[in-house]
Amino acid sequence: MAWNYMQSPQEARDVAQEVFVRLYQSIQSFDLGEEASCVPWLLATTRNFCIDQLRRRKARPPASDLAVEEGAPIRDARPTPEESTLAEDRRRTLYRALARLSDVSREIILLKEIQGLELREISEMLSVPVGTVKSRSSRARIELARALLALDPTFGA
Amino acid sequence: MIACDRFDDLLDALPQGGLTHPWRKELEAHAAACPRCRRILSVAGGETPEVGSVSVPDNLTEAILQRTSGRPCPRARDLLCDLTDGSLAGPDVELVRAHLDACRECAAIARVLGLHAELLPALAEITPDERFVSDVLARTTRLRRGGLAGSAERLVQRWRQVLARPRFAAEGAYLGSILLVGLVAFPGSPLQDLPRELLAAVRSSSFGSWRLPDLPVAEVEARASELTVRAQDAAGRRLSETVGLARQDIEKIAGAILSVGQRTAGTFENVIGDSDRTDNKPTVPSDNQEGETDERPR
Repeated sequence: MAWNYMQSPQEARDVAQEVFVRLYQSIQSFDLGEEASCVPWLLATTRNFCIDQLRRRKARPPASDLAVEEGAPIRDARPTPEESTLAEDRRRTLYRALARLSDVSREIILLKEIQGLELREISEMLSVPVGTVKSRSSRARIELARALLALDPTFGA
Repeated sequence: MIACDRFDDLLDALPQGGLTHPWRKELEAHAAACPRCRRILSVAGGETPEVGSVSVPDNLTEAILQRTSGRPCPRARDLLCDLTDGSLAGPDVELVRAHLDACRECAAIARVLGLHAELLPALAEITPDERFVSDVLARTTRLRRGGLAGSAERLVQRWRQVLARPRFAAEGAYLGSILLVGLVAFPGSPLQDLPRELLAAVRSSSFGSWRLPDLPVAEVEARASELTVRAQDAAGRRLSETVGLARQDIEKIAGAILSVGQRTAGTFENVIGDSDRTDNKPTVPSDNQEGETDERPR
């Protein structure tokens, strides 16, 4: 999540490290028996920290191609070489398309489609009604699909 | 025999069963003689006419939809996500699918939407470098230490959090300005003469060939004082004028209110006076010894 916000591996690493240190400092307030109890806190804290970092970073380079060249490894099962190449191409196209989205749309995609948060959780995190989250999500998905097709008209064909 | 236009009139009544027998016979007799009306009568009777093959324009559907319900693409795209998620129901499903069959652009968008559920969650996890976990553990271990080392680490951690605040620069500048003004401006401050000393140092410095001109400080101060006094006088005069004008307005308003009040009081007096005169009845003098008249109303 930090990487998707910061678009820089080093800054994302710093953010993630800082978030885990803060989690350590706040560990008493979580129910350790439930893994899911700290996930919303982690995501919300990461988001808030990333937004603060982005505000401090006044000049932000265009993210359309920057992060793709640096690349970020992903976990996947052992694919064949052909599948790796296709998956890698798709991933790069996805990141480039995500970088083209508006900030609001990218954030909704990140929280709902990538991190898998529920509408209610996103509504609480962003302090907007659930209906607003739903409509933003639909628009963001269409926007992402159009951005992907603009980059590669045969995407998914 | 009837003519074609009369035939058309009679034909309207045929489905409703309102034609009497003579008129029906006239209708059929005319149809027997007129090919056009015979064809019409047969279609009216339920026979399907042969129209032959007709070429349908490619954009017929879209042309009809544009004339009836506006451009279909935006409306279809509003429903595409629901269709992809399987939450669209009813006739909208058929309508959207019919549109996708006719619109390649929207069909491509729908195809890509269908891949989101498979591709996007894969971006949720990123493998960090090998040192990430050890760095986090090292920092948390330092935080756990007691004594000075732990306190120092916690202080550093706290300072990092303060630095991370987006308004840190503005808050720092604000505090720095207050400190500087406090150190330099307060009487008895050890740095009170600092500005003069700095100015003297700059004047006497041989920094390149650039020198500041000698500033007539006393003249500048006198001029500043004069301008301040003039500004204060001007502000005072303006304030007096404004107050005077306001006083005049208030007096006018008060006078108007007083005048209205007086008129109202006069009107009431007149009304009450008229009422008293109406109530007063003629008096009968009583038999007082001294000839006084006792004017008491009866």
